[in-house]
Amino acid sequence: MLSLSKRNQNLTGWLFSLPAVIFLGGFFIFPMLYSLFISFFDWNLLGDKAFIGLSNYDFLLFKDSVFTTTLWNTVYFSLCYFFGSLILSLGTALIVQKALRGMRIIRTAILTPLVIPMAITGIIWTLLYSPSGFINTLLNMFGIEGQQWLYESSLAMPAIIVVSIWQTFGLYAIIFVTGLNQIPKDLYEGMDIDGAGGWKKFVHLTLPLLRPTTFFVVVLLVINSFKVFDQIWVMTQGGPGNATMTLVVYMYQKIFTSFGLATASSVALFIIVFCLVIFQYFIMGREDEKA
Amino acid sequence: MKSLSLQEERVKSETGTPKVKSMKSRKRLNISSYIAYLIIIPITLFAIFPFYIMVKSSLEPLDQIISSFNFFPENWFYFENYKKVFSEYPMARWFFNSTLVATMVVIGNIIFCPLVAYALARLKFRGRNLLFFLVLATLVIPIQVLVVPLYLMMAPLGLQNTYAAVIMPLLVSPFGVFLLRQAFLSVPKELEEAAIIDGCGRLRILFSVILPNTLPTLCTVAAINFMWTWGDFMWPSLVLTDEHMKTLPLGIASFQTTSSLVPWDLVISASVVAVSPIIILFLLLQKFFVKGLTEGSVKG
Repeated sequence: MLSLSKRNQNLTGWLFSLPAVIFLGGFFIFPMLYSLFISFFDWNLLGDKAFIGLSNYDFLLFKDSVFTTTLWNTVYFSLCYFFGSLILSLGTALIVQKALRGMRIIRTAILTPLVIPMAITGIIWTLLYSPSGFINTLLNMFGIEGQQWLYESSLAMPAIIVVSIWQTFGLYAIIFVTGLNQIPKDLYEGMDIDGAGGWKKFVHLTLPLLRPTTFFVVVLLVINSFKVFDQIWVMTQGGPGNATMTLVVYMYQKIFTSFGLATASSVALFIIVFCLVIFQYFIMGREDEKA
Repeated sequence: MKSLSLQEERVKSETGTPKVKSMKSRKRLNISSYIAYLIIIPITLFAIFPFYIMVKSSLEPLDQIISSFNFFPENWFYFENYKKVFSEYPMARWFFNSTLVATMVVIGNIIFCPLVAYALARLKFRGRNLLFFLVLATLVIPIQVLVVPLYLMMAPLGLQNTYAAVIMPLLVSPFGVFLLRQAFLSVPKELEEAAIIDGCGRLRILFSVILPNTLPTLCTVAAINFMWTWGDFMWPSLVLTDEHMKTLPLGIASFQTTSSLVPWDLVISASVVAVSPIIILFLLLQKFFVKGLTEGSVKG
């Protein structure tokens, strides 16, 4: 009596879902498939499209040295961004979750970079990295010679990694704080009685219990690291040379010359992110279930 | 190593009874607090100092910005850069564009997301599980993967340089659907059943029973979507190429590409204009932002 009839729920359910089905279908699912379709064509802004099978993929993987560089750069960026963010945010979380004076304000402060547009982040940091900017001035104060940060191929990528970590580490730290707060305090008391030290508690209690949170952070980090674009586009546009050319920057540049190559590289991006997320699920998610 | 001993002290300070606490441990607690501050203060400065430099530089004339770095501007009330950027570029129009686009996206999300979220949480209909799976799948798809096909879809529709082109793909965020569904699941079923007995329709139940009980989550969805749209760059940069249709990040980024010598005085004061509203919003609605950003880890 209380619930509506089954048929009625079917109808209402679909009516309620209709806007989402239209928008998610039209602007997520369809473009995904369309993207795969286009990647089999030779097609640019002016010309007609011609079916060329896997030639776009063949070109990217085996013929285009820029794409190979791009993949290496993306891996380089991702690894540094991943571990840098993970260590900095977990370390920060362990401190800011303490019940000390001022920690609430600090939590707000470290989260603030996250809300500003990434393109603007790129602009601010370009100024900081400029030849007589803040960073070189700071280095000079310690007697270290300033650098042409964004104009030297060996320095540009590290410079961009720092910017990217700056923008998002607060987010991961706050997520870690949420996870740490969920660990029951009496578990630590138990270990206190056993006389365990800080390191032992961290390894045997904090880390294992933090696992679901770490899993979530790791997934976010992987997704965010492979889609890096805005700050690179604003700061270096992939240069100097191709030193900061990453997957999405490469794709963006190709939009204006070849839709086929652009979509083929975006399919590559999707496959990489998808595989890594699945892989993480099996490595980390599975063990959660066991525990 | 340092942070580990801190961890231990935190535990002691929160769980240890006064009886157990010896003089020695109290002393160590103080030291560990000092170490905590010693580590966290540089990290905090790292996070916020760039903002100070941005504001400070916007109050300096061009030659001073590029020639040398000073910690303080000579004149705290030097607003020429702001006047100049508003008169030389359509800043007011860009500001309007950004506000309009972000507001429309927020409105779309707070109308459409609750509808589908309610259906996913409370209605049993064929294909519900498939639909929920699709929502989860779209959560992990980076939008960068979709821009080329979206671009090719918009062009034949004549939607180049229209607000609609930027707004439409963002009207239903998978994130909003997911967050609201989780929140709706936690509303007691009894509330809803009482309303059904009174003869309320599902729509009425959603708006007068469910949503009033999950208002914080709705605010969260609004805040996060506003922030994302305000900062969105790649997709708008493809469809908004007309000078007067640009949003703030696009407009400001175009300063740099149009000339080899970057007009830093204008770029940086325009950046302050673009960043201020979102920071103010963040500070006012912090609770909702933090909730939105951390929710995934809580609810999994």
